[in-house]
Amino acid sequence: MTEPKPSATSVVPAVDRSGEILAIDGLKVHYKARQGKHPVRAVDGVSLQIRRGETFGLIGESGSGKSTIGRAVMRLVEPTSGRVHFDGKPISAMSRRQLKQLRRRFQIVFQDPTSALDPRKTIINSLREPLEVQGLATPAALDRVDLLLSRVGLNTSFRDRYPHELSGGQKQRVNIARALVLDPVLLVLDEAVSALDVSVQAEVLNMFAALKVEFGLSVLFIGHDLAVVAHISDRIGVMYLGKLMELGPTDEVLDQPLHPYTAALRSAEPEVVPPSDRVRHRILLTGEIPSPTHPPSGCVFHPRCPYAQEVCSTTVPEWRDVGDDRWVACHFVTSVDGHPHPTWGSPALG
Amino acid sequence: MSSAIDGVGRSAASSAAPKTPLLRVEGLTVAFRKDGREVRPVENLSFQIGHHERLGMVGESGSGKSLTSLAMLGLVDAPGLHVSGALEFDGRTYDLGSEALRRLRGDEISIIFQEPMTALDPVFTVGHQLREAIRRHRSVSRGEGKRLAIEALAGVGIPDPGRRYAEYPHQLSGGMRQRVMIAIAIACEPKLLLADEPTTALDVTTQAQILDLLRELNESRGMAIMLVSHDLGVIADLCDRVVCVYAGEVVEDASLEMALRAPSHPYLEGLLKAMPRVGSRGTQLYAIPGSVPAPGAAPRGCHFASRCSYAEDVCAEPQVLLPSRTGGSVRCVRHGELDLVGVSGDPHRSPAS
Ligand SMILES: Nc1ncnc2c1ncn2[C@@H]1O[C@H](COP(=O)(O)OP(=O)(O)OP(=O)(O)O)[C@@H](O)[C@H]1O
Ligand SMILES: Nc1ncnc2c1ncn2[C@@H]1O[C@H](COP(=O)(O)OP(=O)(O)O)[C@@H](O)[C@H]1O
Ligand code: SF4
Ligand code: SF4
Ligand SMILES: [Mg+2]
Ligand SMILES: [Mg+2]
Repeated sequence: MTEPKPSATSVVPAVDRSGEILAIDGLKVHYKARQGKHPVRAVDGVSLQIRRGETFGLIGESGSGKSTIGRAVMRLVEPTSGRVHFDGKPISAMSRRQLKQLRRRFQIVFQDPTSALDPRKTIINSLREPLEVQGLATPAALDRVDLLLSRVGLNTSFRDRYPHELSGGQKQRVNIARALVLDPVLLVLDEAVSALDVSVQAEVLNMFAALKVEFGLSVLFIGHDLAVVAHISDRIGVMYLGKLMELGPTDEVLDQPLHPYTAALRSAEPEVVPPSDRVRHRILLTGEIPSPTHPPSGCVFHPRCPYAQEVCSTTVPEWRDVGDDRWVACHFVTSVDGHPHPTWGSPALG
Repeated sequence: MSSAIDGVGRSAASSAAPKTPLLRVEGLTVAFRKDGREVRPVENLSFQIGHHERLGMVGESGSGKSLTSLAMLGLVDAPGLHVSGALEFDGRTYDLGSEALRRLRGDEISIIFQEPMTALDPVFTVGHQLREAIRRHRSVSRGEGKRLAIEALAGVGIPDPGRRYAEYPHQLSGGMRQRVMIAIAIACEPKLLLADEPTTALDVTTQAQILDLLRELNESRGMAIMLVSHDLGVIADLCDRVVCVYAGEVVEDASLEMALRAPSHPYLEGLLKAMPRVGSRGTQLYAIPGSVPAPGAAPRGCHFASRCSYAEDVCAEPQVLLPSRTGGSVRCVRHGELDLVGVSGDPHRSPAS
């Protein structure tokens, strides 16, 4: 069930900056192009904060830059510009030693459950490896490995098995247990359930939710399936072509999308509802996502936006605080209740 | 594109099976030998498709969907796999294990797959491939073939078709390639288009475009569609009727309306309850215990028994398809006593768990 929604006029307390575990400011990551002179502007000016204990969902279509943000947070890729602060400290200024410690505090789980595990190692050895690498393999820490294995729902019979003897869902559980071995505070889950069957996905999603509470984690959950990301996230950010289009509390963003792209994405998501109960209007976007080597001028969404006006092709919309803890990048959305089209469902601006 | 509004003008509940089917698959079995034992990833599968119908086949990975669609076209050619069963198309009967079936392909039935790149030839332009597909079906000159091909590209929603005609598959986006594949598949004006996970590799906004294109082709040409997918959302978006498969068998056959609102088989109920949806945030999802068994590893009686929360002693017996209370059929001896939960349109009512 959704919680009762605050009314549009409710006063939301100012964001508690000390409550943020991770702050990304004006992040740009441009990959050098293999041929040609134009770099891939994979992330092109993104700012967001992850609050302590929350699950922040990043949603967007493929190539929109979600994984690159995850990689920049893990410092697996150097930002072209912008800053990432962890616990108030800039991670770009950290020494090698500090970075090594930081790596322990951050863990990442990827989509493919198989490639992350060494096929020649038993499950228990795969789980112990991070402790050994970090020189932390104390008896107490090794006991914790057994505890974690049971926490992800694998009994002790799995300890001495090899990855090929496990199903996809079981392997992903091992990856998650492995990410938790070093007692991280931030978990980046990049499409971590995307390869799983729906029944297994449900199990793993339930497990994330429980582990997050038990281990006091903050989570960056990256995905392309709106229903999945929304299910698990307290707040979501919607990406398009390297930029955030909209950000805010999950239920509010989905119940009342303010950005035309969010609305289109929401309406394109197939709904599992009996035909005679359907009321929804589908906003069909024309065309396809342009190349991030040559992003459109002005608002990057303008060539596909049903509401685009002249200003949209010339001027980049401001990333604006529109109230109620929500942020939007659209010229025509200036406040939560003052935007021109409450549902964005009907034809263009007058 | 015509229908911008979803779900309007579609008949609601109807009896599941068509009266005079376009196609009937009877007793399809795909078998191979493993460790001296016969294993059947698809077993005695039967279903039908009506004229102009949009049928969805749903099931999790490994349930036998792709083997079924390949077998329907005589395309199962992996060594060691043995296909048997019968197919009736437009009144004529074919042996599913025979060569004769191939005559249907590219004439009455066409197929498109998940990854159009592998189905397109990388060394020829898309225009060339489409033109030749048209010329195989109609005796026209190359010039006329080109004209028709450009028209066909426009017909599947490809902008600037004259320019695209001269491009190679790798120059096109995934969505565009799938449109080209559809254009090639319908060049022979088939009565049935088989689409196996046609949108799985695509982004959700592109997926919506392709589903819309398929719906439009179904409506304008009366071409029946069989959509195969692991994603109930995609099926719900396009289809009128659902065949749910598990471990190589049909477990339920129902109108889309009833399949979603009132599933008769515990597996389908489980799939519906496991899906996260808007409004499920903060709740536990139902997770079907265990996972899809490997071929040959399912329980001997009801194949779903090891994962079913309603299993009882009677379920240890092999199950047959029975008429369901919702006008379709169901492979569950207990279906009459169970009160399974479906989904409805109220976004704040998530399925009970
Ligand atoms: N050539 C083959 N030899 C042996 N087993 C096979 C062969 N091809 C497929 N199978 C097995 O048959 C079962 C059904 O396969 P199929 O490809 O039809 O599944 P599917 O329902 O299409 O799954 P997905 O959703 O993953 O595409 C699987 O367990 C698969 O491993
Ligand atoms: N190592 C790389 N070199 C060049 N381009 C890359 C690299 N990694 C990603 N990209 C490009 O950057 C863009 C964003 O990619 P990514 O962050 O992986 O997106 P997402 O995770 O949202 O699908 C894409 O256009 C992708 O092709
Ligand atoms: S700024 Fe213009 S083009 Fe961009 S989303 Fe808003 S209306 Fe559309
Ligand atoms: S036959 Fe028994 S085990 Fe099989 S689905 Fe029905 S209730 Fe469950
Ligand atoms: Mg990615
Ligand atoms: Mg398949």
